[in-house]
Amino acid sequence: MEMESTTTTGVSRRGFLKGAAALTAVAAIGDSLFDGPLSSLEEGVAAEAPVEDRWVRSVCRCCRVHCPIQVHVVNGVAVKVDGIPGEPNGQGRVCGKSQSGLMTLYNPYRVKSPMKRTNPEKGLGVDPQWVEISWDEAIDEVVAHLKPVLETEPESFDFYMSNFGDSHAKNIMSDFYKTFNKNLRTQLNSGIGWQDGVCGDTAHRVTLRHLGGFVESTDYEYCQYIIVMGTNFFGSGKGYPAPMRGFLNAKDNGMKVVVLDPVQADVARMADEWIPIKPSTDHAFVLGMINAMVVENGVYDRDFQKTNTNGPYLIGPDGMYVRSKEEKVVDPTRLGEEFGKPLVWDAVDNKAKCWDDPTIKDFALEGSYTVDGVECQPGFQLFLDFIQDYTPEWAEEICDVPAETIRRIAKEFGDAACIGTTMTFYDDPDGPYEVPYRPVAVDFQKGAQAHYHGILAGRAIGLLYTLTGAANVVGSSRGSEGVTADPVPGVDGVVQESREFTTYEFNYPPAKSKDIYFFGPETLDMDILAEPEKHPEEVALYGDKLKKKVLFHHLRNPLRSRGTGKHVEAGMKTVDFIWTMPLVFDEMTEMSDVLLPEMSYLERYAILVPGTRALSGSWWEFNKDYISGFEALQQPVVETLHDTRQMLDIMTEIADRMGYLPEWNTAVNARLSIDPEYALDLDKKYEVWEMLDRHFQTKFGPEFNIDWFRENGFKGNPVPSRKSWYPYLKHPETRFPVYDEWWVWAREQYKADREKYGLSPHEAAYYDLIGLPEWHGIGPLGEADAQYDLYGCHYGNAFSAMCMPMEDPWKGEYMEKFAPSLIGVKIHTSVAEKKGIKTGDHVRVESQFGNVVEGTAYVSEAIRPDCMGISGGGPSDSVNVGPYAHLGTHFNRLISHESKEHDQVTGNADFTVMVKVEKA
Amino acid sequence: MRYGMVIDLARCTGCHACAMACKAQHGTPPGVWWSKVLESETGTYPNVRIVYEPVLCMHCENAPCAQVCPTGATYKGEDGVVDVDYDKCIGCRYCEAACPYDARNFVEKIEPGFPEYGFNPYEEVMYQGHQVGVVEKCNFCKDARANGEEPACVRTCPAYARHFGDLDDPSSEVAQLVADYDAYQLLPEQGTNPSVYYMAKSRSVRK
Amino acid sequence: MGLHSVWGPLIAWYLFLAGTGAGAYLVGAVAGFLGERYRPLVKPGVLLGAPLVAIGCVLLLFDLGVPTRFLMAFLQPQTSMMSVGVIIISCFIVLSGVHWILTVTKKGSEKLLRGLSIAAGVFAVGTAVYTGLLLALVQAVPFWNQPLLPVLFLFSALSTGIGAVFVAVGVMRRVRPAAPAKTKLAATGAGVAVLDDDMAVPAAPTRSAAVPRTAEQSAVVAQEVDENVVASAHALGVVDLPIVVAELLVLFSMMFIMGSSHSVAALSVDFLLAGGFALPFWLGIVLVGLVVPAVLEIVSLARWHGAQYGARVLDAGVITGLCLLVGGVMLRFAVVAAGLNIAVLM
Repeated sequence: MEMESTTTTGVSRRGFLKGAAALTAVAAIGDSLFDGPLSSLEEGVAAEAPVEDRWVRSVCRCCRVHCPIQVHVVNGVAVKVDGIPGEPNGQGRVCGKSQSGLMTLYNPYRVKSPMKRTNPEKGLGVDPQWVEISWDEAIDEVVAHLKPVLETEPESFDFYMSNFGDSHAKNIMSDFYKTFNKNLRTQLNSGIGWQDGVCGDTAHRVTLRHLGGFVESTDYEYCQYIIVMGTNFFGSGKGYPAPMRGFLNAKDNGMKVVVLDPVQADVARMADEWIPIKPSTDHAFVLGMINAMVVENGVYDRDFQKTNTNGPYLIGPDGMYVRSKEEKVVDPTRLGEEFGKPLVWDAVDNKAKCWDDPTIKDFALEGSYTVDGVECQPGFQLFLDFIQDYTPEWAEEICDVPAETIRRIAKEFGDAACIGTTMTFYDDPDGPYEVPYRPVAVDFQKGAQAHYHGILAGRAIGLLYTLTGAANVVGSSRGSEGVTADPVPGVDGVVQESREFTTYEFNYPPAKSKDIYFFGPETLDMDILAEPEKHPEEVALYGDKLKKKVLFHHLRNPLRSRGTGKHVEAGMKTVDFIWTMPLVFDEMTEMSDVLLPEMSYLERYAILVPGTRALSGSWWEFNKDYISGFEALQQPVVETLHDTRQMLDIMTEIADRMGYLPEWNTAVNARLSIDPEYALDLDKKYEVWEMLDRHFQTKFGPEFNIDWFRENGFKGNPVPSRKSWYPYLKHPETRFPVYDEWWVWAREQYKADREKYGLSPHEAAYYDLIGLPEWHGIGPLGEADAQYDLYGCHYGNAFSAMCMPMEDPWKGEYMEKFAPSLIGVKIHTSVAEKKGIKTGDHVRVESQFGNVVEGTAYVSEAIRPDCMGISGGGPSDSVNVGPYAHLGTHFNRLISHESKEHDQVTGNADFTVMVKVEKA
Repeated sequence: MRYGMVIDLARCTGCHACAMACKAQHGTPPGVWWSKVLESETGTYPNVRIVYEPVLCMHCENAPCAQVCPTGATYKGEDGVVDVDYDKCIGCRYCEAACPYDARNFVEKIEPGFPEYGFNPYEEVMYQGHQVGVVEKCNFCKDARANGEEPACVRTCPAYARHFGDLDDPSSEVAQLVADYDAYQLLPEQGTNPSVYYMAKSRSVRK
Repeated sequence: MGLHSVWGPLIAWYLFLAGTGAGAYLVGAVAGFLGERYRPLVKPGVLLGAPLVAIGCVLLLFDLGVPTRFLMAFLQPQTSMMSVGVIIISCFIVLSGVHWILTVTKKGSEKLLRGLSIAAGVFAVGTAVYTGLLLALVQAVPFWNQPLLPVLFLFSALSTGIGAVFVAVGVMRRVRPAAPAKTKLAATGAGVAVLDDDMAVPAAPTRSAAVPRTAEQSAVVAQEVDENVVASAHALGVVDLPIVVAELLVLFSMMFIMGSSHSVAALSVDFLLAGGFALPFWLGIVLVGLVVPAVLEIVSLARWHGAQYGARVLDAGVITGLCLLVGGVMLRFAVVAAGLNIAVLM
């Protein structure tokens, strides 16, 4: 008799079973209960004792916070993820997404080898009918398309990437491709489009102007009063987990929390006061609040207005600064042109002076003056005139918050701001330092400003910082750029955005008009390619140059971002060759020709810095030992499971086969900031870990090489004191805008540019490019047909925020059993009753733009009766994904993809949309 | 010695990390959840509040599951932890019926999470520790505690809303939280005297 | 249909079979002390007892998650009612099983049989009661957690046991074909007598004078039922009627108390009286299971006396018995299905 393979005891499986059956019939019944690969149980012998049992440090990539993790690996299998105690980014903890990340590593629906499409028809939901190919074949295929294009018509190549998951890779790619096309755009995240219009386009503009930093981050340790609007930041990649911990600790210390949210999302739930505001009307609320605070109560930081805002700057009839005719400076942020210095009015000497004149005795904030025959007023006066009519009663009509509430919040906020006070710190070796004390903060994001006219909403919110002086100081909102922003003043004394404004030749494809971050339809190339009939001017202007022959895509999914995705699909169909580096068979793969599969984050190398606000948006206490230059090493915790590679290795190979290895290595050296002594030899191929090794040694010293990082996981440098925490201390002289004249100047430049290039006037943008944040209405929401009777809103949640959709059985099963609200279409009880809908019913949601999604109803009291709410990322529409990828409802499918329904200045899509909900 | 837990509901954000951490720590089969967060609402709009209540085995002093177990598989240990010797479990489900906290989980079957593809490497390793037909529950992460770690749900909570320790030690954090704040037990009228306490008010409000 | 309850149909059937078997056995055991008149009850009762309970135990075994370990269930009688129960039920099966064997093989002395009857009878009562206690001790299920539940289960076990015997007695009368006129056996307390077919056999005790019969009449008489059998059937009715009435009272008392007390128990009650289980409850348990038997028993006892009603009494007995059994099954299903755990309040 043939012996089967033996166990460690030398008893064959078959032999044991026979013996067992001989002993008792009942035991045979028991045996049949254990089917499948649980062979050790079946045989009754102990499982193999582990030969490998270790914890490996790496970085999580389930969202973009990039919490360092340690992973328990047993005999080559990853079995548990934990935080690293004492680590400042994730605070030693990891969230539910990270815990279930093991299942995404072992997701059998991943792309396991390079693939080539055999179905010539490309489309969303159309099976590409992939066949496996070798890496050689795949790379050769890419090179065959890419090389000729790069060499002869580089403008017809573009790439679509983000820096999520690889903090330097996008920049390396960008540098490399710019060697072929120096005009290749790389606004923040992509070559095409401005972040698809779904990111914080508007919010960033506002915090850059009013805090001097890319994002807002609250000084929780001292904050006593916070207004949160338009964000459920527990559930976003921005607010989790370090800022969340800071927030919770501040609450425990008595911080009052006011949250404006049409749905009681998780932050609203924790509020002392949840104000269920009507969607898209935060702007009105804030104006009413400012009116009550400044006009009725007379509460604002007057000294701050004089010394730290452009309130004193005189504004002429053209809406722009009145400038000195004698003293001029070149302003690099205004096209490098020369301007006279802005003038102010000295209220004591009764004459106009340059803003930085040392003889100024007192800045006039009010009044009308004549300078060289020009009638002008201080910007602050214009602000006072502007704010007069925006009373709380006016606001109540629009935002559905009672006027008395608006007044009360205004009073509380104004009082809590403690205007005029300072706090002295004694923790710096150079001696005590004094910082203004303004323990009030405002945290706002998408819901407040991702709307048509949203830029004005955001700027109104920005005024809350500027009027109270609660900007970058103790207990207030701080500008953050990495950790602490550096609010450098421009040559006119007003904060200059950290990104330089440069000018370059008008070229194809145009950056936003001279790179001053304007939205123009021409920036959404995919839209133009998809619907050229809707963009005749751009088509006429660019002609063939719009055409893309080769497109590379990685870590982005524009097919999911706005509306039905059909327009992006149509645009991509015009591209000859698309190659991508996917993890799963997502929507982007369905438009691609060749797949070069990437690795799970648990299998690859990268350097990851914390997500935008993660490290910074917390108590300084949590991370002072690491605050400077924090970096973490992502490294493989298991052997690569499938035939996949990681992007930088793939690109090294591609560059080499194209004959451009030196250019590639140059880009790596530059963007990994590798010093000459560690620099890559330009003609040699390196693996990713070797590149990272050289980066670490450059940055931290030879002792902190890759082996050190493999062992320790992360490093940052301590700072001597809290001084580095307050942007104010870096530039106490910086002025922030009240009447933000820059937008007015920019409008005139934009107008001139459009005329120059034969584009028709963009009136809708000009309308919003103004000095003060006037209320201009709710945009397309107000034009919806009456049948769409609910405001559709979206809110994040911590479980599925920013992560791969619910591709795994843990989150998937859990949400169905215990957290149906996360995958449901939330409506109020009264709406449900009217429409005969119960929780669990299948429903159909149609938006005012005719877009339709389906989902499962969730009936709740915790939502405005005139709203519908959807949380989380929604399902994948792709064909070759796993069973759990179809859970939930995809909110973004409801909104408009058309640029005419986006904010006309920043390009932010409007995330409130009128909908109707019916039983399906 | 009486191991116990204090869960701060004023800090819990309903992120469900604890539920996932437990699943990952123990490799519980599909359908089995030792730790989860219950969501409910109280009140009517606009005076409504969503409630998140993380629940798990309460490790009761008078554990009904241990009392009704006919084989002695479920027992209350010296350290206060109610544990189960699964080799003695016959799967009668009396404990499951008797537990007022829905903490007992019958293992109906052990199947792959992705049925089309069979058991993945994680499941191959972790399902070894589970038997079909028994009724499982939380054991306050016995294996982790043996390594000096706190239970997985406590270790992972990003809100720092869970605390673990010896309730009998007056200097322990859990004992102090119970003493200083309005910490309460669930369903106290059941007479189970659970070892898991809840705090509902922010710590800015002391007792 | 159901609310969530841990246990399912297998347990409901087990509870029914255990109760019925115990009840049937008790009928047989008690009847054994009551003389010839009720002798016809002994065999059905005894022969139904152990097998019904044993089948119930087999179902119980299948319901276990790990049946191979069932022997471990005996280990915790000091704390677990389930351990107590398996011990009781095992003792019952053994003792009543011995009685079963002795009955079938016609062995065993009278004294032994009586001893077994008492011993097994005690465990029969235990079996009938413990099933209710098992549930009643579960504090976490408010609907179960009441002292009336074991009382209800005891009454139900007795009445379904009676029902089983009702059916057996009625059917067995038919099962044996009418003996040829030549030989007819009548069991008496003293022995077996062979009656000559020429003798007239009175149909009922001494009501009508014996008259000589024709051959046809003899054939008819041969199909007349043994008067003890009819008497036994009546006795079953006499005993069962108050039990059924008591069951109705206890059942509705339970519903009323639970319905107005604990919120979770009220949900259980609502489920039974007006919710998913309403039809089986009112139709199956109340009407078919209790009212119809009661009515039939009242009518039988009040009106059907006399030899001419013998067959009718037995036919009615079969129907009564089937109704009691159906009602008993439904009742067990009802209690199991309505067992909502208080955890819904967490």
